[in-house]
Amino acid sequence: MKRKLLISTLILMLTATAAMASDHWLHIRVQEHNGAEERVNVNIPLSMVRGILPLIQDEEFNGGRIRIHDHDWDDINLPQIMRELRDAPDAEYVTVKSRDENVRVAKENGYFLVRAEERDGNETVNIKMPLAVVDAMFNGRSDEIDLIAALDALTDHADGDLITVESDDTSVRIWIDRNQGS
Amino acid sequence: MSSTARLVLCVVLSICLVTGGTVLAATTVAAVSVYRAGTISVAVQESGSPGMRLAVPASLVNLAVAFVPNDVYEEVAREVGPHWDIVEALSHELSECPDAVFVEVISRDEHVKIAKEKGKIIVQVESANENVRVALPLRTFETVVQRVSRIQDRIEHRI
Repeated sequence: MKRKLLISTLILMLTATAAMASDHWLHIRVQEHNGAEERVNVNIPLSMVRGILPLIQDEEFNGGRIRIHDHDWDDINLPQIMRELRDAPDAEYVTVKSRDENVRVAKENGYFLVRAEERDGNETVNIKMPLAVVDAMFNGRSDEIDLIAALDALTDHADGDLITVESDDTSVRIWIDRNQGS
Repeated sequence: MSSTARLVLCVVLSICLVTGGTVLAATTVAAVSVYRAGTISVAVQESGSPGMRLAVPASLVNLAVAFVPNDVYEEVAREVGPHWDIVEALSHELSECPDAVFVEVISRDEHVKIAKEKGKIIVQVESANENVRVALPLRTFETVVQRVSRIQDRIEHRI
């Protein structure tokens, strides 16, 4: 589940990066209700993300692109997979049902959907990403994720939730709209 | 009163009027300038203490920025180095974007807020023991950023 969360966080970052229309805002809300009762709200204009992202220079992150060095990804050609996914018809591509968790990966109405449910921790991760954004994200080299392209693609899409995580003790919601506050 | 005395009185009155007008105009310009630049304010309130409140006209800071030795800016420019572009972009984007709360953390013990309000960046931390509020006019931030940018350009040209 942690891996899933990491992946969803990565995709969220990408999405966040991608949501860049001048009047669009990226919102992140994290609520902990395990006794701490902590709430974190982040509201960032997409134009700000778009303006700053290309300027960040790092070994792993350069010009708005993330380099993937994780060995777990070495044998996976993500751009190829995404191209196949884009051209494929709507369908449920992966369904895993086990005692501990359920996972569903599907393509529906132009969206890439991932739903992972963990029974022990009562945790549910939902990812709803426009396919055009996913496509733009992985349209470059196989070891890179292009956040700028994803951001540009995201601006063409309607407002709405990108990622939600619900568990016993934490709720996370990442979405885009035209409101300045969450 | 003789004609000479009247003439002297007229001249003296004229000088007084001109001087008074100039002072009034200068004061008005200064007041408008201070008002437009806003104030940098810092307020700290600790439990059990009277607290501290400081409000400095940003125009004074803008003026002071011009008198800070270039060495200081050069040091900042060198230290921030290649990341300065990000600071410049952030300064530009902040000035362009509307008022909003960018980050807010609410917990049982603390409330932290980073926001843009009426041309100022507000950082506010409220806890059981301490309340801190800093308000920095974006124009002041931009002034400093521009100054450092010019110094950095000079450093790059030297290289």
